[in-house]
Amino acid sequence: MAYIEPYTGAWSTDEAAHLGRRAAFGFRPDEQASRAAIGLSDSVDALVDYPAQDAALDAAIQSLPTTADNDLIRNPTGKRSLQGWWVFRMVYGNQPLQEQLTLFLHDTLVSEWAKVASGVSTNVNNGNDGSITGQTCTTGTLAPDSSRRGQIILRLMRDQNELLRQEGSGAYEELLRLVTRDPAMLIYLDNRLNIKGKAQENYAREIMELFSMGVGNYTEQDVQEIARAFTGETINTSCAADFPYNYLYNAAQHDTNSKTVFADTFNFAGAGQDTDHVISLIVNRISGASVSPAHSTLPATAVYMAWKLITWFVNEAIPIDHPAVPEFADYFYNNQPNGYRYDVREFLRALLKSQLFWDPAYRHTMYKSPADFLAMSLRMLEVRETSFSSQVGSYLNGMGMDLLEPPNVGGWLHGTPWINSGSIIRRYNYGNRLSGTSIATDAYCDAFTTNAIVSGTTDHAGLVEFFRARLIQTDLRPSDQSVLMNFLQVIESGSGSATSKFRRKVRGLIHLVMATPQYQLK
Amino acid sequence: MSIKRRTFLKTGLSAMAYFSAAATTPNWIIRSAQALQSTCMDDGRIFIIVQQAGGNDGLNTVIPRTDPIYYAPTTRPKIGIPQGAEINLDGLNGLHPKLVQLADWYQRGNLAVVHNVGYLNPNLSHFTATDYYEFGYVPGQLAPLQGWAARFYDNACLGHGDPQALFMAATGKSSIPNTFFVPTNYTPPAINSPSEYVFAASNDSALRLQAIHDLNSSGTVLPEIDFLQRSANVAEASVADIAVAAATPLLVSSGSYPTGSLGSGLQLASQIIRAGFKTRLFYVSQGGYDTHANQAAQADPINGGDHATLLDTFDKAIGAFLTEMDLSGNLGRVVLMTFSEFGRRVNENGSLGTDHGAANCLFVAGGGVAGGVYGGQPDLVNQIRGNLAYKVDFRSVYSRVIESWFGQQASPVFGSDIYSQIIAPDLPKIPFIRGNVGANGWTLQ
Repeated sequence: MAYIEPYTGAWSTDEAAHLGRRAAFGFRPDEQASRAAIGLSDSVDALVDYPAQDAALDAAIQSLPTTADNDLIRNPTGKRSLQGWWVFRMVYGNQPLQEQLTLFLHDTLVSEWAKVASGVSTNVNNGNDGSITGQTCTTGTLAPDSSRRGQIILRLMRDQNELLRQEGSGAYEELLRLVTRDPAMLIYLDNRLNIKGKAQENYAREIMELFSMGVGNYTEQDVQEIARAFTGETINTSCAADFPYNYLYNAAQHDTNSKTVFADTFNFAGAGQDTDHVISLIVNRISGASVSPAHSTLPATAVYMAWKLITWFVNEAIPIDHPAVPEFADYFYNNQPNGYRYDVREFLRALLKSQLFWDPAYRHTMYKSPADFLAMSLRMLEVRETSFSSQVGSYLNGMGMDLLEPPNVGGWLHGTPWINSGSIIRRYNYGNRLSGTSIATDAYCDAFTTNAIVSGTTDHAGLVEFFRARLIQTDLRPSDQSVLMNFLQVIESGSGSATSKFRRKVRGLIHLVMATPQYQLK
Repeated sequence: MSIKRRTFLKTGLSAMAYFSAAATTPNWIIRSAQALQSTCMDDGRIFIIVQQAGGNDGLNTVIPRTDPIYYAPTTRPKIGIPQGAEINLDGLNGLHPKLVQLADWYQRGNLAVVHNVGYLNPNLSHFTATDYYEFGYVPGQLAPLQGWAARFYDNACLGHGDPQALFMAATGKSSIPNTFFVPTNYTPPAINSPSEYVFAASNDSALRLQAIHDLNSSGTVLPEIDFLQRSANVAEASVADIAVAAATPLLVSSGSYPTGSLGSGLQLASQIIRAGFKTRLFYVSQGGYDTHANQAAQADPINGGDHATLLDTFDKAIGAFLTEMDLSGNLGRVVLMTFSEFGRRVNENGSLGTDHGAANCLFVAGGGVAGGVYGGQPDLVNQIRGNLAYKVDFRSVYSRVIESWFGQQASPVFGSDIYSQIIAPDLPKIPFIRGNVGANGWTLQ
């Protein structure tokens, strides 16, 4: 039990910074100082014990001054602005672990915006919402209303995101039940169309392969039987009900023949009971001797999900057969401090306090995801992005992470797949964007001297040290230190007023430090 | 287990010349020097890999138009292509009605269909199956650390000098595909949007860009840092070339390339080729083939539903690319191969779709291709759990390209045992590369 045991080693600003990079989106300097002061256990607890709602953030968003961008964060209208709404929460929220977990869950319990959108009928009209009296739903009576349709799509994706945010830290088994009946998921993996007699397998396969046990722990026969068990779990899209696009159990389309899954034969009469039973079977299914890795006592879901969480928070390259995985899987399944298995919040508490998480070999070895890179930069530099509602999503897309639009049902590939010539150019260019005069304003630059952050406009070492501590958070390579110092010296030697040269130095450093290889890691 | 989280080839690290170290910087990083250019695969042949991600329904792509089982009322009563609507190729096979340009290329002798491609004990997971195709291995084997084309590159090109930055290119993509991940001394670029493939610097531009270059030029022993520096190096070495390529005028009318990753990827590939850069391997991708539902519209299985839309895009993108290759005199230099991780279930489901299947057909096209239908007809009688059985290992298809198109050895790429036991027996079934191309001039069309 070497990996899950609590870490008892050094605790300093460096450790607090590591916790911030992995379990938050970086700590702001004030957060980092307060975490460093209260120690590891309290710091982790402060991250883990968050309420379902970040009320202070919600209030702050409501009181943002009226601008076009702020208004779209208050009331997103489409994919780009909903992306901005989410990143705004990552940057300015008081519960950053909640947003990391929401991102993990979005990347695990995947739905793609485009597919969900394609599942909302283009015939959606004003229906019976009361805005038009005396109309009926007869086809052709009312013209399609694309704006209304867009609102439904937005609501489906936003509701799923909020479901993951508010329920994600509870019991994972319960989350699976909720996600199974989430309207966006019912559209995305087609279960809304899964009917008796001609079942289809999309959700049955992916819930086992990607949402719980991992590939290899079930047979093709199991897939087909579970597909039958899931028949009738659908959504209500009827015009007569005013296009609710909400969950509906359609008993008339549920297969009432007996099903056999993992040698368990069942056939329940109640609404959704077959589905609930299948999810129980899945999460309690022991990983068999025929699969890899084989565990004679641990459920495959405990192993697979513990591993996925470890790869998210510790290192993406840790293999599923690493000896730490069964320790955490056992804890996930058998430890029930709140009376239920698969307690995500308690799992995270144990993980973030564990010797595995604090192994120095893993520090600064994970590639930041684009969301990490972008949100951390804004949070740690304390600069204000001026276009959450369009530029943030656009840059994330260019870096390879179109939030709310994962590439496929498997989510994004982490680690080296984030890095390539095109994505790295976009990362550097986002650094250039932040260094621009509208974001790194004159006042932002001048604060370095007026607040005595550096001792004067020619204190180059002080400036480099400031950005090293803020962004890199480990030793700069001597070669990089030389490059940055040389850059400052060239500007200093050139023409221009002291004030203007100093601003160019600050802006240049933001751009350049964000372009160091080290800053791509966390 | 899926090798979703790929790692570096550890064995290569100690011996590898870190080209981010100044002393071993390849010549294309030092912009002025062009001395030791690669002589590998230097006769101008090009190979384009087209991924159809999600599992393309081969039976509705190339329809076995004389097979009574295809038309039986229990098979595909709602989504089957109605008899007579397909575009006849050879009597036995017909293309989906949306594949009008591919049908023309077939008539010209530049399109091959390879049926029954797959492998033993197929996996119906998208990700496991895609890994098999991209890394070039099968169930029961240890997963290789490099994609099959990266191994092919290493085997053919290591020791032959430094490649151009654009030697391999993933176009229309925001990531390097596993197929290309990652040669030992070279990191392929990924170019999603040429207009965004530009280093921006709002102020002190030359100074900042020089510093960015310098920040990525130090020696390192950390593989993560090394990979980051290589990626930055190849970006720096390719931005000017991409700008030149993107300015190359279209030879087809505006709008001929459909919007989306496949159309933009093939358009850029064509521009790179026509601009004269020595790219030898391209990778482009089209997603959306996981048609469990709404594959076809009941009222109109020819034009309605997702598969018709997907194949329409597929046809227009490949058609525009081949047309531009033809008009620019490059058709004889190119071979294009499609692949998908699996085919789909023979019988439709109840959602106007099909579930995951096994063996599949693929296309090979270009001036170097001997058109025709290879691999035998799909056997709808002897299904395995409702899926098609394979007759041609997918690695044999790759090997045909490696050997007959590039004149390189396939055995080191897939292993000598695999080669002798599986690939060598397959190769006579799939002679889809013309035997007499390769002379200078590339007149063969």
